[in-house]
Amino acid sequence: MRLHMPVFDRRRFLQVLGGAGAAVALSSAAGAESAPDTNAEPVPAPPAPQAGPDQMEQQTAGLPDAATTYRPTDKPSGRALVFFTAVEAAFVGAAIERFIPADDGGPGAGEAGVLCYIDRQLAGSFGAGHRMYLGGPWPDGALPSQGYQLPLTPADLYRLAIAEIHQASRQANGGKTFAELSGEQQEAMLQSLDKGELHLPSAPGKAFLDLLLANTVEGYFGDPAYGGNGDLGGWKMIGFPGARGNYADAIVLYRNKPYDELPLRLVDLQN
Amino acid sequence: MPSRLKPVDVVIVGFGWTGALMARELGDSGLKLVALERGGDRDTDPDFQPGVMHDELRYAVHHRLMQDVSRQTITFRNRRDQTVLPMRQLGSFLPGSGVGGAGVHWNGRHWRFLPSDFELRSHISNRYGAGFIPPDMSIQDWGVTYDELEPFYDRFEYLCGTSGQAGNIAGRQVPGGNPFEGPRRRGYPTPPLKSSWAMVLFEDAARRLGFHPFPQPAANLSRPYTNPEGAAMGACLYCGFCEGFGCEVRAKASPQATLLPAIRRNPNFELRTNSMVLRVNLDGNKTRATGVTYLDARGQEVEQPADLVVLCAFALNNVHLLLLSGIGKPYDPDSGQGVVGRNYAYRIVSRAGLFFDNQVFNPFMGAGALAMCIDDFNGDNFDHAKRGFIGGGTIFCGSTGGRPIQYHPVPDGTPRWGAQWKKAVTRYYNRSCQVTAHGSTMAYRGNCLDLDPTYRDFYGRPLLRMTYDHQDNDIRMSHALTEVCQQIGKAMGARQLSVELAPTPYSIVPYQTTHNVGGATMGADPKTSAVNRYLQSWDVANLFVMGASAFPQNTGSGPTGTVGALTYWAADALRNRYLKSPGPLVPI
Ligand SMILES: Cc1cc2nc3c(=O)[nH]c(=O)nc-3n(C[C@H](O)[C@H](O)[C@H](O)COP(=O)(O)OP(=O)(O)OC[C@H]3O[C@@H](n4cnc5c(N)ncnc54)[C@H](O)[C@@H]3O)c2cc1C
Repeated sequence: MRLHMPVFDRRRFLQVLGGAGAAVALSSAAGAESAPDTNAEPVPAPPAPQAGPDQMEQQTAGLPDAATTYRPTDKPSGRALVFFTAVEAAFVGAAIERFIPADDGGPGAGEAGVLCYIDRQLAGSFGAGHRMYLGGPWPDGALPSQGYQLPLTPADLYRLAIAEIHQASRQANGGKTFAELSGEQQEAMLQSLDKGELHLPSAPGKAFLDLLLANTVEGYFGDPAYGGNGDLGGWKMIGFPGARGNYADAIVLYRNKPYDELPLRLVDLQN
Repeated sequence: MPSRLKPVDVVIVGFGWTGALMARELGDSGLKLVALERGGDRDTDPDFQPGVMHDELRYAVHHRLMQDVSRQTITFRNRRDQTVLPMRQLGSFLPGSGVGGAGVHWNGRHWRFLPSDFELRSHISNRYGAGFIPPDMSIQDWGVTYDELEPFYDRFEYLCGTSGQAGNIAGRQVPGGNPFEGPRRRGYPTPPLKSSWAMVLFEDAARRLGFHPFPQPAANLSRPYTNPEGAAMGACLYCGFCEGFGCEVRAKASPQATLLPAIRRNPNFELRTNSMVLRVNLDGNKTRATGVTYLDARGQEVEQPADLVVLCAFALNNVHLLLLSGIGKPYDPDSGQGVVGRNYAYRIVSRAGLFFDNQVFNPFMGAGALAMCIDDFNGDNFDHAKRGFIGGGTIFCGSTGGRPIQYHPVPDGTPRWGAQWKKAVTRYYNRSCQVTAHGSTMAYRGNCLDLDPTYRDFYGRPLLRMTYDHQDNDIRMSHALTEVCQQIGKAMGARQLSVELAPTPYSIVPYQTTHNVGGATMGADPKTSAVNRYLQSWDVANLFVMGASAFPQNTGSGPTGTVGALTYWAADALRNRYLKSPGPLVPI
């Protein structure tokens, strides 16, 4: 997935994507490139932090673990869903908030519109497995080094895995769905999916978790044209200036100094 | 029945770097030239403008400039005793599609290989003894020397406007450049790019350790430049949307930025896009190509007769087309006989991730080839006797563009998600850099390409089957290079280091590089090479095969400088010798 550049946390990345059933975020977003929804977000984003390292120091010092207290809402964006059912959206909305919880450092995945991002991706060509080779046969015993080896499109994988996780949660928790569990219980369930310990009847749980996590990061850090990264919260949090892209002087002027220009979006460059 | 078109003199299959170079070099010959490109047309304006290109999701994550694997992919296994399966998504390498090929979305690391690289087997045998080469390692000499290629290296650099600092001009050492490089006739066309902060730290640390840092030669231009073809190129903006993207200001050398204006002025040249070549057609004796068959945009089969066929479809696709067309003896790893598919090799990448308390790197400012590097551990620039392995690589620290979906480094021990992860991403996005090693891989008896017996592409043809794993020699070499990465990282003052080794077994999942080489290697002996030293097929004299498929094994530097030089070298032989008297340029 990385170009000629450092892969973040590469060893773990290999584990993430190397599972025999690993699905990698891939393929076209063309079908999902609908115009960003201009409706105001019902949940205002917290004030954006400045990205300088000194401020970062302060922001991150002594923070409470917000993730354990945060309660996800199942209608975080106020935008219509075009792929997920309400049950599915409740699961995804809760899971992505575990992945990127709201805290003083920056918005949670929910506020950032990641649910909307994933929903649109799955409704479009990405969900349909565009640019994937899906032909058979699919013999047993695929090696991790051979990557994704299922006949399922990303949309199929989400649908199947969420239904089975839903069932598994209700069975194990006296009828409670994943979204109804406590933060700790949700975390335990995600961890057991990650470790391959939660066995679902037919869905590859680990591959699904990896895909959901990858898609969450995409929605959080991608251009807001795709429905996520609301209020550019993901970019502001880390100090990424977005689509801006002219640093011919800055690369020398800002050596060892934080660059504090506000990020630009694709649409800003198009207008 | 396919429709049959009027014959042309030359058909060029694929219109990326090698196709464009060939089209230009044969352009003055008065010959009727047709280039067939499977993808669409595209150019700097409007296709590569920032409002289109500065989109990490669309290009870096969703690979919109690259080969569509639902149409054409490979099958893969590490070893021959394993079940082979299709590559269902792009990962390890990202071949291009469309006018310009991967020349649009490459980084632009513009290297020459070392003189000893071209005579690898002889050189190693002479210096360390023939017994130093493991029995299953099928490395060989290229059949062409550095000195023969030097003029063509020079031409390709001046075509691209490459920025850099010479280290050896005609045998004279020049301070600040690569002291290990072969002699060059003159300096680079444009001076080095500006250094990012990470590069400043790396240069200082490497020097203190006694290494020889220099700016990586970059086909990303430090200042405006007009090349010998009259193409006006811009200066790099360090926009950070480079590898995986097209350049908005023609500051990254690509076929579009360097050659297309001149090629399009030739009335004898025709470019047909959305034309997918299915095979090369042969006469009854299988010694002469009669042309090619392709599918046009409407899916109709078209036969294009031609006197000369030049494959420029990228290394893997060239080998696929040779196998599908029955040209050259397919390689059989059991007997070691045959040549097409033999000596497929790749690259082995590792790095040290550096985490600092009080350095700010602004990783989003960058260019594809912007890096400071050392060549002290490349090729045979260091004594291998005690190391007990062959090969080496370049080690560099650069700033190519920290786009945050794919770049958000966190130290070892950070959870995969949650509040701690978020905190670490926020803290280290701007306080990290990496020291990376691009290592060579040698050729081995078992690493090879052939046709898959089961899986087919969208056009009904058998897929290319890849059998490849990193071998012990190359893994040990990579580990030695990784130690140097760590050593430099510590000297740069990193508070914390993480080590990222190449995946073993080799995996097609994470991106590594698109430095796929071999499979139709050049050489002096038709028993161990598919093409002669002019990249002419030994079996079919009116067929030439351009690109890294000709490399007998890989080296520790990026392939494209050599791919460009070899194309100029082959075109020179074509123009000055072959066209005057068509036939084998090297007697068999
Ligand atoms: C992300 C990335 C970064 C890279 N960075 C570097 C670097 O920094 N340094 C370096 O040295 N190299 C780099 N490379 C490699 C470099 O891009 C290639 O070496 C170079 O483009 C090879 O030229 P080529 O002509 O062989 O293939 P390409 O330039 O890829 O051209 C091949 C063309 O043939 C077409 N084609 C294929 N099959 C058919 C068919 N059957 N019919 C019709 N057309 C066909 C393709 O669509 C394509 O347009 C990089 C590659 C990638 C993908």
